[in-house]
Amino acid sequence: MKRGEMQAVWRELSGEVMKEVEHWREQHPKATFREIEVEIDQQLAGLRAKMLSDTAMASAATDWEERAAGEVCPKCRVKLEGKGKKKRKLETRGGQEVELVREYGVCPKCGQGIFPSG
Amino acid sequence: MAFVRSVGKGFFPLDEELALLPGKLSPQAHEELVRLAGWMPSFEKAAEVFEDFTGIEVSKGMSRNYTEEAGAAYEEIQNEEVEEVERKKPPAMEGAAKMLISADGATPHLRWVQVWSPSCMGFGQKRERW
Repeated sequence: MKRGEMQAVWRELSGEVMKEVEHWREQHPKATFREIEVEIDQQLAGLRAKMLSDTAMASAATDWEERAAGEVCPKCRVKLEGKGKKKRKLETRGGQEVELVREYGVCPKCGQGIFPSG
Repeated sequence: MAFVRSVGKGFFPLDEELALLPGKLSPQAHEELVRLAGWMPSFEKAAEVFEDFTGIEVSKGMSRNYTEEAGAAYEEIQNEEVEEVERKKPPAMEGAAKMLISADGATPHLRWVQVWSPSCMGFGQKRERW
């Protein structure tokens, strides 16, 4: 997702969060501060997870060709092969899931899980 | 480019760049669980409190595994630091042929009891003449 697209999605989501909070307050005019805290945290959790996911994915490292093409397996000294995309889900605050979709590769000889770093 | 062994199968450049740890928790949640479990009386209790605070459900086993793995990693770092200090430390001075220890004490008069309290202890090198 490009920079402008991310901002547009986040703006839309923030607008929804604000509307939801406003609506909730109308339904709960006598809510305690603690109840308001819990509600706002819940509403913001989804936006936070979406921003985490989009921001983390805005990297050249999601693309195998850009980042790791030409690298060799440190064990076998064989050129690594790109294998396409794989999803990974992480759990974060508010019980939210953050989904990362990134390209990966394997060593055609040993197939070992060794990550290229930095 | 340096390589580190992972627990998964495959090479994931993004995971490495983001410094993701193995498992289902985000790095911040992972750290929070480990810190809680390191202080609380049981891994189960830590998992319960962690869920209350973060809304993320974790088992007692996960709480234990993550904490023990973090503990082992920290121990490894400490051992490396000790090795580094030992490698760089200057050679120790030659010790004295004989050493002596002298203890001193005081007897404060309290209202009901008398207590002997060691108040100072001296360590010294024995010399031929004092």
